[in-house]
Amino acid sequence: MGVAGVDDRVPVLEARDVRFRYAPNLPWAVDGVNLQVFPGEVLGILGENGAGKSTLALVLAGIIPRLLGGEFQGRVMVDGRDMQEFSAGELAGLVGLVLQNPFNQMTGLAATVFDEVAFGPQNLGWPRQVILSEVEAVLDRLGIAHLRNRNPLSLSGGEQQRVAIASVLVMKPRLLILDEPTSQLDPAGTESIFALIGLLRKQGYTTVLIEHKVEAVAEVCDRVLLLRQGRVVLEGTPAEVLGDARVVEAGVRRLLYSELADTVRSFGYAWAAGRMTSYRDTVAVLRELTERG
Amino acid sequence: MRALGQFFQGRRRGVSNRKREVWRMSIGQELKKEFSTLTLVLMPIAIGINIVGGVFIVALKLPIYLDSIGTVLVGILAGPWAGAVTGLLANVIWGLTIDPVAFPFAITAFFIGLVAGFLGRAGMFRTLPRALLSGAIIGVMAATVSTPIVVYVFGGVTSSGSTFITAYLLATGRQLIQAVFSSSIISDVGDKLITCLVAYLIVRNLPARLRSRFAQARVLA
Amino acid sequence: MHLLTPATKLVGALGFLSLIFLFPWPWTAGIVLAVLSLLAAVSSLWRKFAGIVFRAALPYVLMLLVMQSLFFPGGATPLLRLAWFTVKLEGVMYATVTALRILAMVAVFVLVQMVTHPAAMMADLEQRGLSSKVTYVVVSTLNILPFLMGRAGAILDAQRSRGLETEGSILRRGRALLSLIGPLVVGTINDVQDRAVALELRGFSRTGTRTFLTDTSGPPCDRALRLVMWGLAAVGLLGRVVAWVWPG
Repeated sequence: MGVAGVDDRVPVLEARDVRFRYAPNLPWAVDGVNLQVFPGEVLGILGENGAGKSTLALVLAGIIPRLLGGEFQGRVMVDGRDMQEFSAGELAGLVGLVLQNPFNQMTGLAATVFDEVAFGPQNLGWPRQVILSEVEAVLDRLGIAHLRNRNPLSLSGGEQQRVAIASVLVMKPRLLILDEPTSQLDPAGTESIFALIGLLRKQGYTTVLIEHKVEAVAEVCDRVLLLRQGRVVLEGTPAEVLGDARVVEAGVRRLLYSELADTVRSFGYAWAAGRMTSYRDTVAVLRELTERG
Repeated sequence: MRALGQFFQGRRRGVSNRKREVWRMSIGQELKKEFSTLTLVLMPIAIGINIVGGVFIVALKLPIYLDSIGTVLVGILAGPWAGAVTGLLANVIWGLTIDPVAFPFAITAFFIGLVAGFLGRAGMFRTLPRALLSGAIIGVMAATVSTPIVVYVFGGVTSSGSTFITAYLLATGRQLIQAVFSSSIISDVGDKLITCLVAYLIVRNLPARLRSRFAQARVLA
Repeated sequence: MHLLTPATKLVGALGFLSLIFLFPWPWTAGIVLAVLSLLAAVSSLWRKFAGIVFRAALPYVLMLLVMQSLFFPGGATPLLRLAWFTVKLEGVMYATVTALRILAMVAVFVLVQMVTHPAAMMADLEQRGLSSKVTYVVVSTLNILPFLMGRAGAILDAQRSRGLETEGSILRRGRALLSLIGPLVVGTINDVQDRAVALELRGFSRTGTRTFLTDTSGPPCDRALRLVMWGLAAVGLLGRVVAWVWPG
């Protein structure tokens, strides 16, 4: 999964020169973003609060400008087709979006998790039998089949978030966008979500993950973008981007081992620093260093 | 139905024909905008506030109902018809869950939301004195609409203390309708004044970002 | 009773209400009340039914009897004199009739509510053409009510622990109210955009057919029963029209 250079795969989602602001007197929340998401990859988007990540998520999901007003420029294309050309009916379920607050994504209409997940396909008018089997399948795939008769409003945050992901995946979107899905969860919930993302990646889903937690991003993403003030300022593999000193300006913490590598380099061990590109390698290098004395 | 209407429209001549079509189209569009998903999501929350606000009232032992605060808020933020439907459904749900006696008063709640919405549209919630005036207007209107209900359905009694006033007025020889209206005015105007005051303060202190999302609230920004 | 479709039950409510309020004979309400009580007893709901009906209607009934017996304006047949009050026959009659009407009305609402699950009712109505927007609002409200109650309680506790004064002058308590309602409203309104986005993503505002998972058809007598209920409603209406056209 290379980075620079020519990529001749057709992107699932593409944004070209996208700019957006909520009102004429406000600054551009998204200020000239070009990005592509390729099939099967997990794209990470990093940036500090206010960099425009959530707004970008809404843009990529087609919610902006359709649901919320504002000034929108540029094009967002799914499989090469401009989003604005889709009717509201076609757009539903095209791009999946999972938000931060698990509770707010429960419709409040469903008495059971099964009904909750079935809500989307019901709206899309799928045949009854298809809905029943698809919902079962997605509940199994995400490991929440044991929750199927529970009231969605009574679940824990992590469970609700998994139900939210299921509710979105069941509609078979072209890609899944996750906007800081763990920011309101406890550590156990967080872990379950990232395990789920790893699982989805293995199953070949195309995913965009917007996150703060740099370690998780480094772990699970194939490519990473750094967003600053509505613009993409860095692009590359997680190691490349998070190893770059510029992330600090953009309000993003560097990976621990990158910071350690800098320190090691400053002590004169450039060869060691160069090899510290993952936690495992870092531990190995440190062991070597201490053995050599 | 619409085909018939357009047929008759086609019969008329002149500019008025086109104006009428535009007028009809914009009412439909306006209604659609008023009942956007954003409004629909607001309504259960508003109805919930109607019901739950009572918890605070009881805890503070205040002599008001404040059971229309959500309705008024929806009227101000989303528009008259959204407010009206909110009031109507709020009473239906109150009747289903708390007290079946609330059902007949859904009509009153409908008008409370409707009038609050039109008042909001006319800018009557922009300043404190205007908001209080709106409260008085809504109070009088509420008393007017509920009086027939109280008289014809309940024979003049309500579950609040205003019935004592009604009884007193009856004893001094007034007609039932007059007595009920007079006692309703006192309790309704007071309650709606406070409701509109609270609504005004809430809308005033909403972060601008939230206010701008709603169809009608931009007027207040 | 439980097996009938919610639509039939609603039409039944309409029919009975029409009889209670429109049909000109004053004691209709008494008959309706008796019929409903019978239905409740037959469905072994009598205890709960009676409890709720009486609890809801009692204040009204009592006040009515007192007020209208003593203070009924006009009316010429005194029954007895208490101090300076005159209990008139017309007053007592009026009070009794109205009390019966209230009891019957409450009975209708309570019985329907007891045998109908709101979600099932909404699903049925939706399949018969009620806008899904309306059903969303009703069902969603019912479902988030417990949650909102919890949040209200939490706010109350939090503010109390910050020294909120819940006693004192009316003005002070009024100000306290503001610092309680404020967080409640702002907290819930903040969620509004999120919830709207989540619904949109699931195709909420899509026009076109929706699939329904539950089957809300009733037993074979359901249709017939519903027609009977419509009949009752018509009887009530006709009765009123007849009485209006031929008074006396």
